[in-house]
Amino acid sequence: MDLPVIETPVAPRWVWMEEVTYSHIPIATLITAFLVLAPIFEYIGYRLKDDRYDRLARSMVFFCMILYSPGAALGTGIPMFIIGLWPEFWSRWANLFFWPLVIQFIFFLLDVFFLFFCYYLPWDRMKDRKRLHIFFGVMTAVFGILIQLVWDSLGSYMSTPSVPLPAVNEPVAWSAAAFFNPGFPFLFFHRFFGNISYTMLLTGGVFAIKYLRQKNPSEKAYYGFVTDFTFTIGFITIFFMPFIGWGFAKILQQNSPVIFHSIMGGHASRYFIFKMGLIAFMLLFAGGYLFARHRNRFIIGLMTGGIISTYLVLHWHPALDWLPGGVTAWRATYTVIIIAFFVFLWVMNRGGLYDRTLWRWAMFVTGLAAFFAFALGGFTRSRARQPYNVYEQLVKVEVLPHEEDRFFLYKKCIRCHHKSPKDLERYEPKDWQNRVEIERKRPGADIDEKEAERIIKYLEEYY
Amino acid sequence: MDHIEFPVLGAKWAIGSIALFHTAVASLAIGLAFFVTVAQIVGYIRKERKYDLLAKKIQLIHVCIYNIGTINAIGLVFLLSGLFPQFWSQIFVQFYWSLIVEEFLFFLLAATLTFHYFFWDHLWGHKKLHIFLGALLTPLFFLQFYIINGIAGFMLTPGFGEAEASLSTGVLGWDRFGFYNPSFMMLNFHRVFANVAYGSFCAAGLCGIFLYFAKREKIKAFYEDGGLLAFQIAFAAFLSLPLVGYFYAHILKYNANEAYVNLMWGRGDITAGGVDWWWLKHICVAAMLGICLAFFRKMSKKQTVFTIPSIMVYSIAIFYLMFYVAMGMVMTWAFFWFMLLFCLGGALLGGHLIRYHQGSGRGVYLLVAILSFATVMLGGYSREAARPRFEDRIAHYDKVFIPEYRQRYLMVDIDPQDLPVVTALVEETGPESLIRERCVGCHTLDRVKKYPLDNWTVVVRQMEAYGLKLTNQESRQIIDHLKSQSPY
Amino acid sequence: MREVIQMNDQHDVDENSVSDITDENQEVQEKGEEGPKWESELDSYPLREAGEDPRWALRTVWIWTGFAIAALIFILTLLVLGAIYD
Repeated sequence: MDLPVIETPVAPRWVWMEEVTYSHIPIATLITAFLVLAPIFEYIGYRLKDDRYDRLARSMVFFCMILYSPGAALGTGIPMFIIGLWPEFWSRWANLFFWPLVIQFIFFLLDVFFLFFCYYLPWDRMKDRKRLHIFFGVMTAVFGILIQLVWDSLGSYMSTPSVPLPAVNEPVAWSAAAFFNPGFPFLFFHRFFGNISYTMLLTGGVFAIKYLRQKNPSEKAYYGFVTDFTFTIGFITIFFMPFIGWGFAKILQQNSPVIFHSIMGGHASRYFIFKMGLIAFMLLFAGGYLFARHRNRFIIGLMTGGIISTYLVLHWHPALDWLPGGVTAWRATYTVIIIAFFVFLWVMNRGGLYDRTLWRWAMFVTGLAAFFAFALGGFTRSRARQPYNVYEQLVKVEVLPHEEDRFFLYKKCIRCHHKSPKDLERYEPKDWQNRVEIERKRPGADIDEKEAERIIKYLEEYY
Repeated sequence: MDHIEFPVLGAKWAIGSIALFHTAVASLAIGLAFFVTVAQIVGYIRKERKYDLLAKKIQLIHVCIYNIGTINAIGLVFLLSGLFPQFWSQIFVQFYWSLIVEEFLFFLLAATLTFHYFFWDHLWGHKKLHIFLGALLTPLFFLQFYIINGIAGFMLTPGFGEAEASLSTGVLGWDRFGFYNPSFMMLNFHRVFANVAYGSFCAAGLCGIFLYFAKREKIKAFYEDGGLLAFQIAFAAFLSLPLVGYFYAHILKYNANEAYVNLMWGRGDITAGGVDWWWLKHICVAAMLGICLAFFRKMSKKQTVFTIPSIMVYSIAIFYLMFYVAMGMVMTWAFFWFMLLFCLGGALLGGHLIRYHQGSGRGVYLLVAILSFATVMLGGYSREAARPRFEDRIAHYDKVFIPEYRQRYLMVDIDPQDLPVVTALVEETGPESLIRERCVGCHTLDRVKKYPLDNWTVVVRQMEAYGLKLTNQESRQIIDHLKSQSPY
Repeated sequence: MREVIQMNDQHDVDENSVSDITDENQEVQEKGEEGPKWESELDSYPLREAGEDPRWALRTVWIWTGFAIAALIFILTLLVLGAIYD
């Protein structure tokens, strides 16, 4: 039962919610990642006595300063929209997480205090007290991460709720089990490394274009340097993601299997596959550029290790049935592609190739691909959770019958014997009556007459 | 019903502290934005960099505190959601679209402010555009204020009962009569002028602080002149406040009588801790008036650029003396004597501070800024403290938030047949009510009662010629009633 | 043509400045001390040619100003409509 909802004009409420969220999230993630990296870059510059790192750090913090106000203003829009459009969800969710939200507000205040008054504004005045200044930068980063930590807990609870969502008039205020829900660490690390990766790739791409436009030789040299530096960091950080993502998927499979199936072969899989495609594109172009650019064995070695690890994750993943020839063809194809890619990377002529205009534009496009891959993540998550606001606890008011039936089908039929909803495509509509009758007889399949009718109707319409 | 408890402070004080913190910061932001625009315009017209530079410095402070204010606002939202869930859900749903427009304004302001500050030195070739960008902040802030005051005013003067009628048509997210409630406009006027005064006094106060540390003459002159400009703007806005306050109190008397009595008689949380905080606010106001008048009187002797001629200073003093005499008549004479005492005390103190600092306004700027801050805090506190307390975390003020209706109404699936029946206001009919309602558009009823002649047909026709809209039947009813000399 | 407006050193400092101008000794002392960096900026009102402003900044500000004005008009329209309709 939900509270009555306000109808939104022009578009349904989920569209408004997505718009508001997507206006805030890119800014917030960029700020969080920049503030984590800026004191690190500043420290590197301090140790190496290289002003370029300091300039880079300062410009990143300056950019954060510009974005902070509009980003915070847009961020306030998210709870405003949720409170009005999903009043019951908000009341119950804010009730369960009351103290984390209050503490998060204190973190925000401290973050602003450190960023504005201790880190950015006194940058020049503290040039002789660099360590203290870097410490202030670290504090800014810490509070930024803590803010993210709280919101990741609230967000992951929606997909892996470990305790029931309390009623509106049942004050809870704090629940350790809810806060430290199963999906929390995975969402946090996924976002932490993901933010650094996409922001650095995007920043590298933008710097690549700035490099092309510079006429002054020293400025050109600077932009060339920061392009490579940020792009490399963005690329290397990607390689944490398959492992974290694997763990995340595992947790979803164990705790929220319908969400797992929605992403892996279900109705949300197309967004996930497109995201993977963007990541493959990023790996190809970014890998190619960085291999061409870097002579340092350590970095080349790191990148090689990263690509190998990605291959291993692909190998652990159940084989996909996309190609004619089935499982073997799939395994063989991606193995051949990756080996060919390796050969190309190690053997290609690395002298001067990287400096071509085309490569710079490729970096920019790669940065954009990284950004869209990041954006698709949140979208996939929220589509996969449909029709629930909180998995199996609170269904959305405008739930459609076919969404309920789909959830029911995934829950009853996919877990045990089909690996993914994609498997259902093997059959035809005329087969379903018989198939369901057969499957009902399996031990453990607890499906009554009405439920069977629902399943058959859905399968006949959609498969 | 159980509630989340806030340790140590309790829910009321937890919300109160955050709300006051927000008020301190947000009100300051509004005032600073206005001052920055005026300073930039003055600098542009006079081609004097000092005003533009001061505006830039103040705008940087504004950028910093705007963020703090925004974050604070969201803290307030979280606290209200958790500590007063029913109230918050109801008022949020009732005024949903206003709050969404408010949120949009938040973003517009943040981005405009950011562009205005960070592009300052990039637009010297387009100075008027830059000033215009900064000037946009004022109407945007005004609109943001306008919206929040509708909701804030509703909390104190829920209106004529038509708020219920609006709600009964369904949860639309917009309540016209709730928004345009009786105290809405007075709260708007009061807060707009108060924020301009507070922000500009604080800008002057900042100049005062820097003056204490400035050693070089050029820098001192910079802060002195900038502070004077800010002080001038602030004083001009400040002068309107007692008058607006009077009319605001008048509205409260008839539409939020319990709150009015709490304020004026010092009841409930108004006198929490044994101090009448409302009275204390007025003492601060009187002191500020005295200090400012003394300051401008001294400045008028020096013939500085921005100053008030002494004749005007005396006129203002006499006007406010008469105003406070009138207040004494309406309220109590103790009020008048207290105001006079603190006003004179303030004048003496202001004169002393100027002499002590050898003609510099630093002491005055700083003291008045502190007093201005105090009045804003005390004013905000008094407003909330005056309102009848929530019982069991449910607002009981007036008939609008009747818990049994509201809770059920919002907690069940809407079936129009299940909506609670709201008794509409009984509309009075008959010639008496016609006369009372229609004949007071341009003059009071006294004029009707004192009219000596009997030619009511001619009079009513004349009134219609002057613009009074009546049907033939209404006209006939009024004329007949007046001719019969029946009471109305 | 826009010019950088130089502050006139005789610009009404004695009449218009609120603080009393101190004696020569203090001025001589000040020359030895360093003031804040922005002190020298007080001497000029650096208007310049429109073309000297960076185009990216100008474009951004024009676009944003247009958007803000449009939003303002939109919000005012909403308020007017809201005052009329329920």
